[in-house]
Amino acid sequence: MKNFSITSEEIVPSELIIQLEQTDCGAIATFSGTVRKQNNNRDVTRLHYQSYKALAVKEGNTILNEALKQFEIVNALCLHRIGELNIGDLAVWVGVSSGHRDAAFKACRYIIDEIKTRVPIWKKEIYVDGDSGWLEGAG
Amino acid sequence: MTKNIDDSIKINIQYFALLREITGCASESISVQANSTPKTVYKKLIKQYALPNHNRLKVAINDCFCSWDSRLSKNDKIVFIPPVTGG
Repeated sequence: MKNFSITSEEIVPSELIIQLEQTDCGAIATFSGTVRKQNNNRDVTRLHYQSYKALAVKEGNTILNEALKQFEIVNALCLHRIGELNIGDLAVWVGVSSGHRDAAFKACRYIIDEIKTRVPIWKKEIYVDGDSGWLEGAG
Repeated sequence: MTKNIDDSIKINIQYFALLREITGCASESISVQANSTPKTVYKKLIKQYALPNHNRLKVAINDCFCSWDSRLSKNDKIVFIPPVTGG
């Protein structure tokens, strides 16, 4: 199953959520990760995301398959954006469908937590004062 | 009779994020001894570039996570992976 993707285009949740809608699912849980304007007390102007795409897609799909095995869910999708992102832009979107809400919430949480610690994607913060730097750990 | 044995192999290294910034390149091919491992290659690179200690990094060969002690083969693609910060 290849449900984890990387894009350099804007993420449009409404285009993704329709892929999850099925009549046997009573629940869809989604997570949207957006670019915030402050981190570690510094004012951020934009972010630059970079990925090791071949391994990122492979590891992302491994995580989604783990979620499908561990939780009573029907489907799981994730799209991560790379390149230059501005404040408020959607950087990552996770969606899970299931018969009931409990499994959908748990699986959605599992997927984003694992992505943040295992998938080779990195972000560089560009600050208002002109300085910039690659972040060094899961945030 | 003497035999000319070339015990070096060429490998390709790709750099991402902080490591790309430190090395100033996205990829390079280098020659290493045939019995090299990611650990010995990284030790060699650290003499050339101000790279961080390998303890916090992971490593992949040909797009698969691997051990620091894996044996490298000719034309392997090796990537040193700094702590990830996606999401």
